[in-house]
Amino acid sequence: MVFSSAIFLWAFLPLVFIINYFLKNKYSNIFLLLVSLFFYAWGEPYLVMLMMVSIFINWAIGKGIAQYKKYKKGILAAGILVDLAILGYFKYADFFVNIINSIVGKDIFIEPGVKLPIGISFFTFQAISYIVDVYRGETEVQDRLVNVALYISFFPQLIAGPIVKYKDINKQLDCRTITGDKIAEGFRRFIYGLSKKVLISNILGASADAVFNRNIDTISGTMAWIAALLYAFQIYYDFSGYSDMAIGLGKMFGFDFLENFNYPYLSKSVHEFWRRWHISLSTWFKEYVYIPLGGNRKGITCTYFNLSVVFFLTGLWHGASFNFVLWGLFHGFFSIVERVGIGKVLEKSKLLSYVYMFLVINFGWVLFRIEDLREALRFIKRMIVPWKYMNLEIPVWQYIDYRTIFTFVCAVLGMGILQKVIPEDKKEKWRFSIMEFLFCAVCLILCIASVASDTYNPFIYFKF
Amino acid sequence: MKKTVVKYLYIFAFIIVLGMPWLFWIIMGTQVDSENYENRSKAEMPMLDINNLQQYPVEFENYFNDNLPFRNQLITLNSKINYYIFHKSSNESVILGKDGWLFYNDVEDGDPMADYLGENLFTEKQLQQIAENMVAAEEYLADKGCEFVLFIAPNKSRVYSEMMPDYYGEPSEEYAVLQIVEYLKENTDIRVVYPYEDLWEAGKQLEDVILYHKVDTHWNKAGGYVGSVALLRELGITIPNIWDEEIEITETDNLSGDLANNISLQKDLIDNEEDYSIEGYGEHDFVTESSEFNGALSYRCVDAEPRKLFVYRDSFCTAMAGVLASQFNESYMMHYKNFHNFQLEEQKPDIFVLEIVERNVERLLKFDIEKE
Repeated sequence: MVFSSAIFLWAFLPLVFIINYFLKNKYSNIFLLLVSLFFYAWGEPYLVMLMMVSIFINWAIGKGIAQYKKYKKGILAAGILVDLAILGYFKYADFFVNIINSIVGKDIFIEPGVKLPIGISFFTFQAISYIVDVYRGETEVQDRLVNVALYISFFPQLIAGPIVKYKDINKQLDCRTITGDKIAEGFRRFIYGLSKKVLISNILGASADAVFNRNIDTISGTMAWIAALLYAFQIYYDFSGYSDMAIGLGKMFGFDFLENFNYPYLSKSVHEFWRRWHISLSTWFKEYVYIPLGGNRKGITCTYFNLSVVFFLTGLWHGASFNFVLWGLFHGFFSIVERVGIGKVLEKSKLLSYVYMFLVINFGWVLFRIEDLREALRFIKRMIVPWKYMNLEIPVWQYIDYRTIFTFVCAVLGMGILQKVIPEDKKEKWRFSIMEFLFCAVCLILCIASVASDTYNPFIYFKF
Repeated sequence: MKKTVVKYLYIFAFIIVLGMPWLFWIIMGTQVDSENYENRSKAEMPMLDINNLQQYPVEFENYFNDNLPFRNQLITLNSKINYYIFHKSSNESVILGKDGWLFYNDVEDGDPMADYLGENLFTEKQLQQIAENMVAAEEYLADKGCEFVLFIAPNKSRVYSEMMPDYYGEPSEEYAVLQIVEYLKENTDIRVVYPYEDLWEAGKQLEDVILYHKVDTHWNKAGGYVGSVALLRELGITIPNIWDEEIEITETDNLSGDLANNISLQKDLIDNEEDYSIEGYGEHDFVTESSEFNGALSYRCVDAEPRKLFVYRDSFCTAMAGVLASQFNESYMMHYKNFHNFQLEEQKPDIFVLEIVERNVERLLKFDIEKE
C-alpha cells in the first residue's frame, strides 16, 4: 500500500486515524501494531511472517543482552548475524550467486530467485539499531514485545524510512498525546509530502523515463542532460516527499520523527551532502559502522578505508546491483578527495562548490538510475561531450511538455532556493497562514485528482 | 487569521477531504455522473480465499479504485488542468494536435505513431508472408466464385498530418502500408484499395468539410463516403465523388469521440466534433436487417448491384456501411472479432472485402481465412 494511493488516502488512513484517536493510550500501541502489520501484509501477505519473526528475534536478543550481561557481546553478535543473514538472503542471494558464478566462469550455483520483501532494508536496520543501543546502554531494554514490534513495524516509516533509532522514539512509545496542533502540523506536512511525490516527482519522472527508456544509441547529449536533471529532482522529491509524509503521519499519531532531508542540493561538498541527504541512513552508518571501525581516530589511511567501507555499504544497501555499489563508491571517492585537499579549495569559492556538486550529483544519479554499467558510462559520455551526439537529437517536445517545464521550475525553486532567499520572519509568517492553507488545500485537491486519474484506464474498443 | 484558527482548518480539511467523501457520495452520488466511460467492465469485489492472498490486495485495490467517490469528476478535473492550462494530454494514448485535433498513440493498439514516423517497416520476409496470406485468401474465395479485395483505411494522423504537433514532423514517406500496397502490386494480382489519394483530393476540393472526427480515431461519414467511392470504383460501381454537385452534405449533430473519452473530456470537447449526412449518390432505399456494433451489419435493397457483398470489417466500416449497402442488393459486414469461416458458407458472397485500418495491418501477417 503506498501513501499516494486511493486506498491509503480514502480508506486506511481515515479509518486508522479515527479509531486510534478514540482509543486509550494503553490500547493504542496494540492497535497501531496490528494496523501496521496489516499495512505490511497488504503488500506482503506471506512475508509479513518474516518481519514478525525478525521482530521477535530482536526483542528476544534485546532481553538477552540485558539479562545475560556476561554474554552480551556474543548475544549481540548473534543478533546482528541473524539480521544480516535475513537481509543478505532475501536481498542479496541472487546477486552473490551471480558474482560467484561470474568469477568461476560457470553456473555452479543456481539463483534462488528469492522475492525481495518490501522495506526489509529499513526494518532490518531499525532492528539492529535497537539491539546495538541496548548493548551500548544507550537505551533501556524494552520488555514489552508490543513496543519493540511497533517501533520496527510502524507503518509511516516501515516502507521508505526515515530509519528511526529506538532511543529517539522509546519515550513516545510509552507516552504520547495527540493534540489538535500535532494533527494540524502532521496533516500539513503530509500534504507537502504528497504534493512533492504526486505533483512534482511523478511528473518529472514520466519525462525522465521517456528518455532513459530509449535505446542509448538514440540519446543525444541534450537529451542526456535533460533526463539527468529531471531524474535528480524526481528522486529528491520522491524520497523527501515520502519522508515528509512519514513524518507528517507520525505526528498525526503523536510521534515526532527526526528530519531526513535538509535541502541536500544546497550542499557545497559531498561531505555536506551526506549530512543533508537521507540523514537517517548516513547517521545510522556513522553510528553503527564508521565509528565502530574507528572513524577518523586511527590515522588518515584508516579513515579513508572506513569511509570507503561506509560508502560501499551505502551503495549496496540501496540495491543488489553493481550500479548502486558504484554510485556509493563514486560518492566515497569524492568524499575522500575532499579530505585530501579539494575540500579546502571548495571552501574558497561558492560558485566552484556549486558547479562541483552539480556535476558530482548529476553524474552520480546516472550511475544510480541505469543498471547496466556500460550503458551508464555511455550516457555520461553524452553528458560530458554532448556536441558529439547532436545528430541524434529528437524534437524536445517529444519528451518534455509545458507541465514538465513548469514543474521543473517549481522543483528547482523548492530545492532550497526559495527557503534560502525568503527571510526567516516571512517564512514564519507563511507557516500556518491562511495563504499557506489555501495553497495546501489546492495542492491536496490536485493530488487527489491526480491519484483518481491514475485509476482511469480507458480503451478505444470495449474490452471484454 | 490566527494560526490556531488555521490549524483547525487543516483538521477540517482532513476530515472533509479524506474522511468524508464516502458520506458525501452516499448523499449525492446518484445526482452526479458516475457512468463508465472506459470501455471496460469495472473490477468486481474479489472473494477472499486463502489460496489467493497474494492477489487479493491487488484485486481489492482495483475494485476500490474503480468505485472511488466522485471519480469521474476528479478525473475530469485532472484532465481539464492538463488540457487547458498545460495543453497536455492526461493519457499517453492521446496526442493533442493543433486546433483541438486529437490523435491516437497507443503502442499496444497498432502503434499509429510508428506508422506515421515510418518506424515499423516490414521486412522482406514479412511482406512475403502478407502476400502469401492474401493470395491464399484470394484463391480460397475464387474456388467459391468470390472476388477478393483488400481495403486499407488510412490512419487519421496521415490524412491530417498538418494538424499533428510540429515536433512530430512530416509523416514518413516510407511507411508500412505503402510497403504492403506496392509489394502486392508488384508481386501479386491482389486488388488493393488504399484511398489516401482520394481523401487528399477530397480535402482539396472541399476545404470546409473535414473527413475525420477531430476527437475520435475514426473517419466521419464524409471520410467514409470517400473511402466507399474508392472501394466501389474497384468493384466496378460508380457513384459521384463527394465534391460533385449532386452530392448534398449536411452538418449533423455533434458526437463526442473515443479520444476525447480517453482523456475524460468527452463532454467538454463535444463541440469540437463535426459530422455530416451525405445524400444524392443513389441510395436505393436500403433496409437495415441487423446492426450489431461488434457483429454483423446487414442490409438489403432493390435494383442495385446483384452481387452479394461480404465485408470482413473493423469499426472504420461503420462510416462506409450505409453507402456500400445502398449499392448492393445484399450486403453483410461482419466485425473481424466475430468472423467465422462458416459465415462464408452461410452468406455465399460474390465479393469479399477485407477492410482494415492502417494501424492494424500487422494482423495481415497472421490472417488465414480458413482458420479465422
